[in-house]
Amino acid sequence: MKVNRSKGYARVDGLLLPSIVIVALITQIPILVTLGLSVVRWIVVRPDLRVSFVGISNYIQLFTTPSFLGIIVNTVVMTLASITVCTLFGLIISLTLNRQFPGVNIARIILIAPFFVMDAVAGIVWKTLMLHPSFGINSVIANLFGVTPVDFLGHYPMFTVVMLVVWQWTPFFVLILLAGLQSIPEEILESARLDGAGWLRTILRIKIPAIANHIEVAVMTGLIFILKVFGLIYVTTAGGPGTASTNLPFIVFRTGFYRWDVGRAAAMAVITVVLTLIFLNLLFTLVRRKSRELEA
Amino acid sequence: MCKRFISVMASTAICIAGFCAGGPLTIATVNNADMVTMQKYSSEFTAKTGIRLNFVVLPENELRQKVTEDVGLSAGRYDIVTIGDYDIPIWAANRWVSSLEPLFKALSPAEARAYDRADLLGPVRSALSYKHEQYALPFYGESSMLFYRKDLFAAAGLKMPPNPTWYQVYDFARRLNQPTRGQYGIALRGLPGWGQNMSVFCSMINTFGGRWFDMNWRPQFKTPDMRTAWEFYKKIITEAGEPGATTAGYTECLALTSAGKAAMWYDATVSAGALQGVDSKVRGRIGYALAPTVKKSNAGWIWAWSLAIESSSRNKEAAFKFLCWATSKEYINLIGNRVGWAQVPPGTRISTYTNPKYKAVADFAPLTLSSIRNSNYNAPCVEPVPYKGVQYVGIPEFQGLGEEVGQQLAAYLAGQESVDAALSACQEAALRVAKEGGYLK
Amino acid sequence: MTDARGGRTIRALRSTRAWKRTVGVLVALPIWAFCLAYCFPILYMFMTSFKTEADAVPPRLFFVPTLANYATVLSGGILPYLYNSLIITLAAMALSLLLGLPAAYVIVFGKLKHPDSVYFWFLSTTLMPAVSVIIPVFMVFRGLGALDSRWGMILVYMGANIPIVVWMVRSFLKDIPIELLEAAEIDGATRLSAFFRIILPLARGGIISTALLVFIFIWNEFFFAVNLTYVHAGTMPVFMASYMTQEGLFWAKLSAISTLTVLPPLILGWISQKALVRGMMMGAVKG
Repeated sequence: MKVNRSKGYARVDGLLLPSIVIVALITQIPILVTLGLSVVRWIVVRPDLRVSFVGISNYIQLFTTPSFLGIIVNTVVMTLASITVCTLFGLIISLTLNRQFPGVNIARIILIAPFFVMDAVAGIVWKTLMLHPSFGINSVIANLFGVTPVDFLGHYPMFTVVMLVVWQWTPFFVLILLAGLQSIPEEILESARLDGAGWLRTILRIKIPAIANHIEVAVMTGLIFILKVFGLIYVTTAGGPGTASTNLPFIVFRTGFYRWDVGRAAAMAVITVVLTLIFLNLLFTLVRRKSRELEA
Repeated sequence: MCKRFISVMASTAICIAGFCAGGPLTIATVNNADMVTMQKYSSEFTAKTGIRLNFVVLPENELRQKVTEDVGLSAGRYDIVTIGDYDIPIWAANRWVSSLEPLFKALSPAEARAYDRADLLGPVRSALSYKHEQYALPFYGESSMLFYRKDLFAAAGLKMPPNPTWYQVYDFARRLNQPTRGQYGIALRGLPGWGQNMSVFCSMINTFGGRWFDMNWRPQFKTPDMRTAWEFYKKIITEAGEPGATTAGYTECLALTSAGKAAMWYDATVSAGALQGVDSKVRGRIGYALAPTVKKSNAGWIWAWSLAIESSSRNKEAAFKFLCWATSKEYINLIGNRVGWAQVPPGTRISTYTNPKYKAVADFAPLTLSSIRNSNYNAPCVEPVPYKGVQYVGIPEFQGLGEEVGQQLAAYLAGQESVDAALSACQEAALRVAKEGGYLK
Repeated sequence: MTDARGGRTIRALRSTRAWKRTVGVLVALPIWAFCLAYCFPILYMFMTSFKTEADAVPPRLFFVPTLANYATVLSGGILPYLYNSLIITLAAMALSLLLGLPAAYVIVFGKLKHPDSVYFWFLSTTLMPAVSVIIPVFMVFRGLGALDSRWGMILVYMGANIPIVVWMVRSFLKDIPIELLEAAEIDGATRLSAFFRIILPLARGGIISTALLVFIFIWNEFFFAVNLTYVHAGTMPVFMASYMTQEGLFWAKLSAISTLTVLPPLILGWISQKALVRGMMMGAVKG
């Protein structure tokens, strides 16, 4: 028995190691380089100003810039709002689609389709074909009701960006939650029905706890991806007006590719990662505790 | 069998010729209509010289990022890059592109005569030079001018002077503005970006008497002239401009005007070609006027997408051959005959503007030529300035500074910031740039 | 209470197939309407791909359809990009699954001391957005000679997606009761055969969903593709970028190329939906 277990150990490590090695090489080396870049001053378009070591002055400068702190707040607000709405909508929609009705497969694919389109293209479609006050469906609907079209991206940039992120990511949540709902064993549902449980109670007491795992993975994955949203903002509001819809990835981009201030961009990136780690850790512990309660 | 043999021999011959002529050239270009056409007809160049071309076609922002990465991070993978007159002095100073003078000297007298360097428009040629050496050849050049709807003006009994002032334009715009009928007085760029709203607005700042920095590199955002320019821009857009201005970049304004929704449009001269093109609903109804002025008599900008050779290229002679071909009279004739004379790349050669075939179809040609000739890239503002450039400030930091100021302008236009707050933020940003860049002592 | 006879009639009516089908359709209608409305921007994009540029932007319901946009897009040298996209996406997806599945298995069923830490480490490797690491990655790639190479892109996508496979599959695996594995072990099965015969079929639905997601992430990835490729390894997003011009009207052409690009994921999504349903049936049999 003991011999078997240790053999199992060795084989087990063999399965895990290749993936750890590859991921570590590809992701950790750039992160180390970024750390290194964050303590230098390097402006690519000014090679006459030589690359110089500046210690933590990049970081100090960032923390004393009010607009940067505002951007951190933007990022947190955008992410939390999107995740909350996505989870709610995702749950409701996947529960609705988790039934047999004529054309259910087509309906599911149609609903998930927004997630298949590249986010930059989706942004352009929304900005010009849908929301534009002169060209878009926005103007058509406004003319029908005789009101002036609302300039969504100009006057409500944060709200509109959150709406677009939710539109694009809810199908992702639906995909995962639906997979979870469809793997709930039929007997559990049957016994609940026999016990006379109403549909609401079935949902709350049985279905949701059964997919607790899936909710957790959808929320965590969604969180990490929505924190990194960039393409959508780039093509719709370009982070503006001002810095109203700028999030951390976007300011990193602007600093790195417009100001070409690689050092400061790297410092921003490091701050982003540290904040995200802290945030995730908190969330992780919270979710861990909740799912243990639900499983019990 | 015989056919096979011949084709194999032919391809071998071409390969050998290509090998001798120079390796395949990697070219980075922008995805505008003229350059896409150039890509399409580049097979003529390959047939003539045996040099193969690999094109990388990207939008302007992505292109600039990629080529800057390529030179700044020493990857050196492009032979030919497409950059503008903003980039040339900076790249030349950084030694990222090679001077073309030695390559010109190596031309045979016949080749030099065929190319006819003196035929290149003076302002464009000097904008692509650094320390009296030319670093790039212009593929197309433009200035800025005012487009207006002749039919709408006639119907309202208005007449556009050839040299309008901004206040006259404001007046016209107010009178022609009928938003309930989906027609706006004027289309102006509001999309934030140093190459978007800043291009148009910068040329406006200049003519209102403002400037970004004084001769000692002190930022000048708090001057009355600057303030007047900001307030005017907001006024004309709010009262007679397109809604959603802060999302309207060049493309959106073009779409508005060519769909007939804007009575006027102040923007690049190359738009004239698009407004006369197949996708335009206002073909034949557009009139032209010089860039509106206030205090400075020439407000039009100058921009030239040009081809340059990266210093690290190992195929400089072959690359120079392409540069000459793409900017030659021969190329212009090729496009004129095969595609159409209205689609010929504008703003590069005097001979284009004396060509009767071009003049017959391009009614915008005379005004384009005078706009380019009028513009003063070296002294863009009323008062002296330490930088060059009409619609930009010719320092490397302008990409970042222009973005920030463009964002502040958008915030002001969208009503999210007062003009004082915006101007203060711009002043601070400009001060930071001047200090960190070592301009302000 | 309803009178006995009336109640029985109603109940009899309710059990007829016609009734059930009618109710089914009535319930389905609002759901269908919602799904169509949700997807409307994509459908509108599809419609725009058949318009001329002049008809594209001020919205017109009635227009003369044209295939010119597709002609332009298909004759613009699309094949190398399509080829690269297919190779890079399929290879990176397959390799990510190959490496990620066993890792997830070990985290859930292996006797690791700190499985949660390993899981968290995988999570943490993906926190850097592409815009932050692009310059370091560019520098490293330049040093390795991996710029503009297909294998370089495959490596990058593997590094980004193996963690995704690990997280997702882990959650699907956690649904499988460990008793099943232990029962198989008592029966003398090795770990490896238990993995293939018992776990894989049960987690099939989850693995298919994960594969689909990874495919989409790689297929649509824009930033690394544009910055790390030049001439030889460009993928479909790079090709699409050449239609996102800032200097001309482009919406109809962009709609055409985008419709074409979204077809492979859609087809794969359709296939996987069918496979998922079958997986559900299998899940019902267990226990």
